[in-house]
Formats: sequence, C-alpha cells, structure tokens
Amino acid sequence: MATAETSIPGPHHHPPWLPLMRCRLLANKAVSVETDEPMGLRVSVPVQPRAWARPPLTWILPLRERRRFALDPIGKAIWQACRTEQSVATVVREFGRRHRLSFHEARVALTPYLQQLVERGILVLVGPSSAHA
Amino acid sequence: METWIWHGLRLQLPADWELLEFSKNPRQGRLLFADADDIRLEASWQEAAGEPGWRRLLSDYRHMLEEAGWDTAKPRRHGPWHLLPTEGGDRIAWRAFRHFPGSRRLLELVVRPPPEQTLDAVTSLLDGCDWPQPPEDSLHWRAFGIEVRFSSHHRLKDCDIKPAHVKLEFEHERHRLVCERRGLADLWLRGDLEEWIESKLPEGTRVLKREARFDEAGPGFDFNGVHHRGRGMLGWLRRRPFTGRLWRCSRCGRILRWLAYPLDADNEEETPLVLGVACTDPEGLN
Repeated sequence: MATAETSIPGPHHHPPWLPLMRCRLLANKAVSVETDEPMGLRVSVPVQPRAWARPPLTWILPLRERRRFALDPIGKAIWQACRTEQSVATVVREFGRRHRLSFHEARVALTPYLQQLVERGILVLVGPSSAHA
Repeated sequence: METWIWHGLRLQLPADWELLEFSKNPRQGRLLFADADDIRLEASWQEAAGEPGWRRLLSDYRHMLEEAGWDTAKPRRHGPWHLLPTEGGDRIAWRAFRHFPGSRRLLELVVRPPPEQTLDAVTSLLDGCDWPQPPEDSLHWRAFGIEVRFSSHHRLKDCDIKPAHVKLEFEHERHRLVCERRGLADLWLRGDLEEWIESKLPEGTRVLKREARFDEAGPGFDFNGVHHRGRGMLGWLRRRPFTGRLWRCSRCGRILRWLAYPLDADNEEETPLVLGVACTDPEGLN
C-alpha cells in the first residue's frame, strides 16, 4: 500500500531488465572453433597483444596468442544462436522454449552466463541505439 | 489464464505474467508480476479491520501520484473496487483498491496492461481477484507452478526461488512441509529418478522405505524415513520420522518433491496430513 513513506515510481520508470533485453548479441568473428562435439564446443579467442610484448621479450616468455575456452551444451547453443545477430530477448526466449522455462526463469539463468561469454570475448553485445544505426 | 494463491489472495492472471517479487509477511506486503516487456501488476496489502475513509484515501493518493508525474482522472467504481485511472508518458496504469472484510485486508492493485488491452481486461482481472477468510483447517497455496493443499493452518516460513528451482517451506508450530520443483532435468538428471530421492536431503536423513507409484501426475516414488538431528546418541534420541513423495511431472517434465515431518520427536504420532501437492504447469510456460 502506498503511503507517504513509500515513493510511487513515475510513469517513465522502466523495468531494470529491459535495456539488456533490447541489446543484440553477435558471435565474435575473431573467435575460431577448434572442436565441435555433441556435448560442447572448444573455441579460441585472440588475445590483445600487450604494449610490452615485443621481441626480445617474446623470444623468452611464452605469451599466449589465443585463449581457449570449453563451452558446455548451453554455451554451444548460445554460440550457434548468435552466429546471426539476435536480440538478447530472442536468445532468452529460445533458451526458455528449448528447456521449458518461463521468460524470466530463462532470463535470470542466462544473464550471468551471457555476461561471462561477453567478458571473455566470445560474444559481442551491441547496444540498441548502435544496432539500428 | 493462471491462478495464483498467495497468503489466501487469489488472482487470475495471464499465463505469461510471472511473479518477480513477493512478501512472506501475511500482514503487510506486496507482489510484483511482470511479463517479458514490463511490470504488469503490483499487489500491495495491509491488515485493516474495517473499511478506510475512501474519499480521503483516494484524494491523498491522487496528490501523491500527481507529484510523481502521473495524470489522474476522477475515481470510479467497479463493483466493490475503487478505481483510479492514471496516465503518464505513454503508459496507462489502473489503480484499484478494495477492502476484504473476511481476511481483514486492504488491497491495492496497480495494473499496467499491455497497450493493446482495454479496460475490459482490467475489470476481468479485478473480478477474478478475491481474498476470502482463510478456513481454520486447511491451507491452499498456488505459486511458481506448485499447488499445495494441507490439512492444517501453516505459515510460509521460507521461499527460495532460483531459475528452474522453487522451494517453498511451510511451518506449523509442530510440523513442517518442504515442497520443491526443479526444472532443466534433462541437463542434470543422470541415472534413474529413484537416485534423486536421497539427493540433497538434509544431513542426517535416511530413507527407510520407498515404493514406486504411477499415476497421471507422472512416475514417482512414495518414501519415508528418519531424520537424526545431531550425531551419535543425542541425534538418535532427537530423531523424527518423515514422509515424502517424488515424481516427474508427466506434462512439464519437472521434478517435484515434498517432505513432511514433525518438528519434535514427541509429535511422532501426529505426522501432518498432506492433502495434495501438484504441479500446475501454467499454460504458456513451455
């Protein structure tokens, strides 16, 4: 019950999940698939070279040029869905449909997972404004 | 449409409106329902012995809304409901108030229907809302895909909601009932369903007897056992029996389990009578 102590959200208050759902997801084109198995996927992501990573230092230190990640079946499904640009909401809906989850169940389950994939450079998140540009 | 029953409040809502926030307090609290695009319904309640002064309440409320940036129209009635239409930006919100004398609750609903829906959708939602006086000898909850009917008056002790895992815990002064519903079973269920009977049971719990059952709810097991509260002789002295059921819903494929046990070993003879725990498998969930 709204009382003087509680504030009523204004008409322009929007739900917190909406901005992310309107973003679009795309697989990073620099990622290469190393092995594709039924139970997952192994991918490698190129590492941004450090400014100091130059010869003769690189002759001595074995610096990695690519980072490798193993994706489980969920990660693989997301990767495949993002081969063509999709909105986050579409990816969430598809995940929910496939695993018989409601929209918000799928959203809450998937959001940290997507965040990890983006942080590791496997997926790219495009904001809604630049997506339409 | 999907029925929700929370602390006795009954709501008939579109199947894709999901409960995102809830209060465990039956005296004062709120529920927040949303679909994929927006928050659609906020239900707030507080205990109230009698009807409030509606004229004053609505006038104060209109003032608060206008300060928050909403345009308000003149209040109107819809049966027992006091209805306040509000508009702001591109959004329309219907605020409805009603006092339920049986349950002694004052309820406010803020309904923000999708743009294509008319006032009829709001009034039909209001017509489907009720908060009757709770019966002395039974309990009925229906939320998050679980429907619970219980023989005595329990309160909601805990509610743990995670993606694809719902756990509702009810407690009476002498008994406890724990209901769980787990999804994504295809991803984590390895081996037989029977192996899941003892999985993630509280420490010190031992299943003594299990019996397979097949009914329209889905294949499953009835089981019972004993829970030792503590180690050694002390745990043995404080042991308490429990009964339970586990099954895989034949409609949605989720795994449901309930456990019922007395809180004290002295109440061994008074094991709680569970009338029914069911999967509601809301339309549109799959």
